[in-house]
Amino acid sequence: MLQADEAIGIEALVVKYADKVAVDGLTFSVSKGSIYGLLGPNGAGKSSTIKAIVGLVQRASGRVRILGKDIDEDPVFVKSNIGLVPENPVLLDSLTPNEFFELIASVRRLNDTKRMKSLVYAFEFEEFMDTPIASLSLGNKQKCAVIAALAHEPKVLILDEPFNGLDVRSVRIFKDIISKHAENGGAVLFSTHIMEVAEKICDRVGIIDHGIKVAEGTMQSLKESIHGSSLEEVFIKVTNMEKEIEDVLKALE
Amino acid sequence: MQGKKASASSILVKSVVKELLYQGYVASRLTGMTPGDIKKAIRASKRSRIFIAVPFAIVLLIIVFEGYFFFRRSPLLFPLAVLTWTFIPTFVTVVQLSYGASAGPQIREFLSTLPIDKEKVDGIAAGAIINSLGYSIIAPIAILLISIPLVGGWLAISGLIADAISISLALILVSIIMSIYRKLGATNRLSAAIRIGITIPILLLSLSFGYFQTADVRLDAVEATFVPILNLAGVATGNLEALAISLLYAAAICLVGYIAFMRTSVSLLSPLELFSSHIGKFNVKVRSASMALILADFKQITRSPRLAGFIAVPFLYVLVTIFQSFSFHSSGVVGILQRQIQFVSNVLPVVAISSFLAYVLYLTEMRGFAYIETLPLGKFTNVKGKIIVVLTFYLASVLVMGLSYLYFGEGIIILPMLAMVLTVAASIIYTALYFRYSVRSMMVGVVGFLNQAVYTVVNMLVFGIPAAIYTIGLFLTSNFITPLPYLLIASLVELLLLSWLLAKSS
Repeated sequence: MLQADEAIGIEALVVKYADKVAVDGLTFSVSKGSIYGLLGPNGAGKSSTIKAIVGLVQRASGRVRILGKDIDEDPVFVKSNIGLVPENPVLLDSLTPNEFFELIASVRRLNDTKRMKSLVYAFEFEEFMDTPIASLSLGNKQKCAVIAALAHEPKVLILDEPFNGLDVRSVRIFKDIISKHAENGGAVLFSTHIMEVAEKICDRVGIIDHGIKVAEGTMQSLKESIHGSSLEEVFIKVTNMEKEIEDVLKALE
Repeated sequence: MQGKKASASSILVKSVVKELLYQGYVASRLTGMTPGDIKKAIRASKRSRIFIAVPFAIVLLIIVFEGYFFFRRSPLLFPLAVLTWTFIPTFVTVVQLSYGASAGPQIREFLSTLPIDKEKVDGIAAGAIINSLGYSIIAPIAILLISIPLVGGWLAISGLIADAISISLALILVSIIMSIYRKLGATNRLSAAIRIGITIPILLLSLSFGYFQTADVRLDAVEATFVPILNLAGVATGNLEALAISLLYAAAICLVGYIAFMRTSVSLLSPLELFSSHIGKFNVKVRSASMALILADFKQITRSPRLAGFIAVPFLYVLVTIFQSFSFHSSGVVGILQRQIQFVSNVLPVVAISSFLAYVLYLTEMRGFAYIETLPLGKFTNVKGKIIVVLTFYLASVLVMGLSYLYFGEGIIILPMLAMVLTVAASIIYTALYFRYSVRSMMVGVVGFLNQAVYTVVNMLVFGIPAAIYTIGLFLTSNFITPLPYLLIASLVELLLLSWLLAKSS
């Protein structure tokens, strides 16, 4: 059901890799002006969900809406309004960031590159602008992906483990950008396995395990309903890891 | 103890070979993402090696038969053919291996952490590369040995010497190219110029083969005995002096090849240290989306030895065709049947190669495919850029080949060549469709060998059906104009149908 303030709408999403079901009937929505955290253990289906949203993997079934438009009906509109930071930034390795940003700015028809330039300076990236992406460190590749994702001021940010490899300064700046983006009415879908970060910046979280949503709500509502003092505790409880962790710790003793 | 050491070395070589196959596979993957099933990935990489080696082995087999029936009048042609058709797969395989290894630091770091001395590491790296070459080395030697009863001992010996020289030359050339590539960096213009300059011998080698295939080359006694490579003609005719001298040359080249290869083998398995010579500054120019994509493709092609090799093939073919055309006409009077055969053997492959070029252009985007897919590109924006590049190549080929046809008073052949622009465009649209549909499913599984085979067959049909219609008409009417409307209609129908499918695609 489409709501007026919905920015991202996912309905009964199913993603299959051959016989393996990676995402199994997932439904959630992200409102305009909010930050939604998609949490889950490794292999839970977070990245598959994000890839399906941006059209990188074929959906077995289900619908994806961005700003009210179905991705199948108007993919160009959808992609024009999305800024994506993928989990592993596989960019065009033999290009330099200058050349890569030129491609992004041209395809996205940016009339001026002022914002892109200010992002380059904000992330202290100018000295790497003529270095081939292949030889950048993981952190600098991530900065490259972040700048490319933010340059066109997208209404919807889709971030898959966006702080991977970033230094403290860059993480701080990026967190502020994300918060301001939401304050200005933008929507953020944010996938992470770092509970502290999610707890700090997300308005709502959805926890998935084996491709199925096992919990969803605001931090407060989750803590109350699951009886956890922190998001980490809630996460461990809903993903049934409590017993497993106890057993492992006992075995180590 | 010695036995144990040897066994440890062979285990290391096997492990490095597996890693090379895996890295090569990941580097050549359309999406740049790591495959889920590593065993399948290694098997797919092994298949791709066979895929490279088998066609060359088949060509070599054909050459052996040709050698038996035709080349006895020009004994240089047989060793020269072996030289060319061993050199190319060896060169391509080593470049591909090195390209794969350059994607990650695993192999070098793994070897450098082991408690073994540098010489041993060099030996393991070299052994792994030689092991990976398997098919390229074994296939030509096996074919040459099998061919001895047919072509005779001397011709086969000249082929075996050519084989040894060829493999050594390929290893020397790869060592030099990769050293320059690594030392100066991929974006350095001097590096690109030197690499192109060094690659020219490959072009010359193939060109010379095209020339010798039709020309009646007569060598004097000194040339056939003392001049390197040319004296293989002497060997082929049983000249013992030429045999001794060519063996000396071959030994020297093999020695240089061995030294160059042993020195660079570890660095061939090392990650690329691409760097910039100066500190950068923000310098972004906004262009049209199609132009930006064309420029990005072009930059990627010129910076990757592997892609540059792919892209050289179409240009090489046009040059060979023109070269052959001259030797063809110099051999005597050319009738309508010969012109028809010339059209089929020269022009139709250019159409096929142009569609191959479109495939290569899409391949250039493979590493960043996941990223490109997230950009707001219309269904025809990307393909528009590919059509511009491929048709520019095709029309340039038409111009160059057309000039040579005009020179020989056969300007009429230019008309079907121009009409085939539509055929080439249809093939490009089909390639766009193939990438659009298959790549998404490839992102989760292993790139299917079968998938690529199906693409090749369908693409051959796309450009083959209009070409076949025209060719049949050409042979039935002995007229280059009469079947032209059928060619135009068939190509146009294909183009419209494929464009409609692309527009409807999700």
